[in-house]
Amino acid sequence: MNVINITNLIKIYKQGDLEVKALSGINLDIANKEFTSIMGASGSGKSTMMNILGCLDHPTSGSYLLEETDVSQLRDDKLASIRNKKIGFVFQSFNLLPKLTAFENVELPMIYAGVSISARRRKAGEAMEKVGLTDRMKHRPNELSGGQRQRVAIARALVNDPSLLLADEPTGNLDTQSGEEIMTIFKSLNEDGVTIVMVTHEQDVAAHSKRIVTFKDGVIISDKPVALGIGGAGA
Amino acid sequence: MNILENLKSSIKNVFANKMRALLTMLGIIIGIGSVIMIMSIGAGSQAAMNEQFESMGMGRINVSVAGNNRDISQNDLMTIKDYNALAENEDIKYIAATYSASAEIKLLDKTKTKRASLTGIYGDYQQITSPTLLYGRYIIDNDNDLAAKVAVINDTTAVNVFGAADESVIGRKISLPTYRGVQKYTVVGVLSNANAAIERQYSDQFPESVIMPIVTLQRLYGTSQVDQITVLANDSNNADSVATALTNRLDILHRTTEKYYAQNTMAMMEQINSVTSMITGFISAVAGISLVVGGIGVMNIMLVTVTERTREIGIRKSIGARRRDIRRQFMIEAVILTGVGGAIGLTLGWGGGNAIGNLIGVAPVVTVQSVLLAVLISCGIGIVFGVYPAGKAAKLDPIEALRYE
Repeated sequence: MNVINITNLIKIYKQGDLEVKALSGINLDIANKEFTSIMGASGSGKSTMMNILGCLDHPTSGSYLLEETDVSQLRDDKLASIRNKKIGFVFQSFNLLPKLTAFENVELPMIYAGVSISARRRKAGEAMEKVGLTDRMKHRPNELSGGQRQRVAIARALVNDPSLLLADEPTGNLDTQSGEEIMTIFKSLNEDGVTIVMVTHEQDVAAHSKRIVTFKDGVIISDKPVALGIGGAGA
Repeated sequence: MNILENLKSSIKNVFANKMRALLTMLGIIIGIGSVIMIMSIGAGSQAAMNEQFESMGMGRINVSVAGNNRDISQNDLMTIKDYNALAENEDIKYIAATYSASAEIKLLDKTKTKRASLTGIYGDYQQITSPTLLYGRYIIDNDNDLAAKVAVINDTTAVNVFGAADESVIGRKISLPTYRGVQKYTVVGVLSNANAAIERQYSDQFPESVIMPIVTLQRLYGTSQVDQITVLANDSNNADSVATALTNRLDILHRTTEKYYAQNTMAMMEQINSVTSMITGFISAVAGISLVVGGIGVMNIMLVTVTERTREIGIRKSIGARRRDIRRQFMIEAVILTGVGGAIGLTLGWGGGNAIGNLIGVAPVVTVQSVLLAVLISCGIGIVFGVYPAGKAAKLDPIEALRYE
């Protein structure tokens, strides 16, 4: 079963009288348990793709099936509830709420999902454990290192058991070592069966995934698996 | 997200910046505070006034000839005959006739005189006014039968005329210079000054008051006129219909139409109450304008808050907050601001009411209704002025909001 089926997807932005075609006819299938990287220069359409994949934006035309449900023209509140239950976001700038503790940040998606307090506590605890931050639960984001913040964000993304983990330059704000740690977590999550789509412009980060899709000028120009055992530079 | 959850995080957000929260609430605090203060003093003075009316005797009816002197003919004037006729009414408990005048009385310093009110009484006047008799006795029926030259005076008069208000005054004589020469009346009783509010109004004009048998006073002025008949109804709730029955009876006796006017304490009280309510309401409404101003202040700050927290809104939306979740969050924050402001205003208004009440001698009354009203209004302001900012927050585009720095 495919998690994502995208057929002939087009996104046009209107800037005054000017129409900008950000995506012009994308066809993309992503199977369950895949770990895919989306690459491309800025302006290639990869961020637009990410927003549509994350149900933050509507495509202008074409279809987007998420777990075989067409979400391309759903209303805002429906999309919100899909973001809540089926998608987990990991952002470049972490996007944690600064006034909440790490634990409370992880709890937040479950609050919007209407999960009971006891279940929330348990699952948030489990998620924190999964990213190895059980000793940082009560810390605020500004008391954590970049790598730790990103791990909190990952815990938050996972806590509602999403069908899809979307990561937008997850290592972009991190030093190499923290970046490696994050990629290790992603890999092990993927091995546990989490489907991951990651946007990056770094070859060696993309090399951690299993498949690289490259965008240019709103179209996919290449889509190939990462060769086993070969490092980033050769891919 | 349930309400309790919302409430908890909203309280945290609102009071994260205490100074700002306080300043935002100030308009509401002042508005609710002044409304509560004014209403409590209004209700307090009303209660005090009602109490005085009640002490005067509820269901008291004063019957007199209506209109001014030009419209009144000799035929219209009331006499003791009218008193006797009205006394037959079965719905009345007490009835008295009075004739009032004023005259100069000689003071202790014989060269000086002072104007005093003279009230000639007949019937149950003592029962109706229930005065406090300090010394001696009151006017009795026999005094009228004999047209006795006796008088009951109040203690101010006693002090001014005899230099003291005590037992020794009884049996002494007060002198009234009249066109028939100086008339002397034996003092048989001394009353306390303290009396019901309405009496006090007149006693301010004439602090000296002298009560005597009506027949004695009528003779002094060469008249048989009664200028007021005062009645106490059996049931104060019937006062209106009793009053009508009495004036109708007088019209029949004098072959007139609507010539007589009955003023009853119940109606007077209602009149005064409606005036106080109107004044209180008007001042409260003026004070209430600051509530609108305060509401606009809350809206302003909420708009600033929404802008400041654009990124937070984007994050919340990206992890699944729906429009209504965001709207609710900001609505609750607005209502907390105005609600807490209202509560503080309520406390301050209550305190201010007490302070001013102490100053002007009114015990302020904070009613449950006014508290409920204050709470409802302040929360209502939060809702009204929170809708727009909350709607703005809810409508934010998540992508734009996430990009906001």
